[in-house]
Amino acid sequence: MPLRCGCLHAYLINSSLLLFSEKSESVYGFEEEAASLFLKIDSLLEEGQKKDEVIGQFSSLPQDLVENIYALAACQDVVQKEVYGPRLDIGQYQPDSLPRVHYLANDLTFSVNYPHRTVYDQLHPVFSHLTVDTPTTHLVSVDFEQEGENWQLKLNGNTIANAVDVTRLALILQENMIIALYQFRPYLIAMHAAAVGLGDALFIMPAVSGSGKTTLAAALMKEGFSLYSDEISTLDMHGEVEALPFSLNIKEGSWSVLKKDYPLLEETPFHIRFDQQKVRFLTPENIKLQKRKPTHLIFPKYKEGAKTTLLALSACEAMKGIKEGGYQLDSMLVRERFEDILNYLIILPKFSLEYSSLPEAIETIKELAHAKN
Amino acid sequence: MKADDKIEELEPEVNEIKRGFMKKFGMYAATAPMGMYMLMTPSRSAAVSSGQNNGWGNGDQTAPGSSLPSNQAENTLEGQTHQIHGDSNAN
Repeated sequence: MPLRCGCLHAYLINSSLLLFSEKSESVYGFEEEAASLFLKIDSLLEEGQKKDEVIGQFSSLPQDLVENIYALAACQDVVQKEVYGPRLDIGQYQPDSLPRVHYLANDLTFSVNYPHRTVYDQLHPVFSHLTVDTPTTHLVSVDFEQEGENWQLKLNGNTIANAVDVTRLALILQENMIIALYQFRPYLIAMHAAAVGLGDALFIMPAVSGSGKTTLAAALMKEGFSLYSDEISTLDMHGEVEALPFSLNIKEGSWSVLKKDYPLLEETPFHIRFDQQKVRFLTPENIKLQKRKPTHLIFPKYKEGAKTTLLALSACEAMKGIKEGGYQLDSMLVRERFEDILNYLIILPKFSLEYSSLPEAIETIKELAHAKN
Repeated sequence: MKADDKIEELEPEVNEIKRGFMKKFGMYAATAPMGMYMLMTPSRSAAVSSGQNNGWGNGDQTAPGSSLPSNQAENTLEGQTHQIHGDSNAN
């Protein structure tokens, strides 16, 4: 949609107005009246009105908002560009004669040398479902060096973590395996989200920590849903979800909730998170390795005592939800990539799902899947 | 038909869409919550190989979703806070 500011590109999606700024490489969102206000101010600028004239027409509205919209419409938005660290550097595999256990995850084979029985006992059960006799894909060596009572973790000889207690090693290693895997090939967007499928439906479920995403994914898995990913869901450059076949990290609060479905969970050793929370690993069932395009976006939120409520979300709300949960982009955002994110993700049916009853949440998602199928 | 001609033909339709949107939502009631949201900002991968903040996952250092480069509190540019769902400060 043409706007006065040539470096802004506008996208109207029902009640949402999304703006991509080539100048600041940022995306702005407006809903309903605020969206209309932006379009109105843009029109006034198009007519040649000056700043005071424009702003004066909206004196009853919050002036900060009006001035911010004016600045954006007048192509004066300024965003301090943030530059973050590089990709996870997994380096180059150097063959050696050490005994190694191979774990195959899509494009990568992680070849682990266990230096001590204690380390093996802690880690192998977490990754055993990925075990292969012979590595067939790109190799990444995983090594541990003892530092007193703790361990140093290395991928392809590069130090990933220092002075790690053995009870935390599996969590750190799995986390870095996930990162290495989704960063191995170009991707459009990676989100803190679970992804599950049933029939033709594939749900991406972005969420903030503590929203019950993993517990819901585990329960759905038991109900016949296939699991694409629990922790991170990525869209590749064609908008397809890539499976990340790792164990689910179940926090202590959910152990009893999942006891009926997974009676053996309470018999597995627990691991200690960075925040001292205890977690147990749940081996994924029904892993789906074939890439597919998602069909729905659901933002789950467990809330004690809440009535199960499924609400349709706008495009702006969905993008806010993805941002709250956390996302990463493979490279700087350009217009074409943003449009791909819109076309592959944001235009999907979008819902928030608040619940306290896990069975009701499952039933709600099943109904969406059956409607799709 | 030249490409430029196509654009000229489309513009009246686009303006009609803009007018229709403004007619539907352009009440500008001072009492209605209105916000301008920063939804994506320039960023690159936050993953680092130093064993420091790695930004993702349930493993060490950081809680998922709590420290990503683009995971900021839901602040509107006007200084208000609107949370549509979820709790950005959940554990």
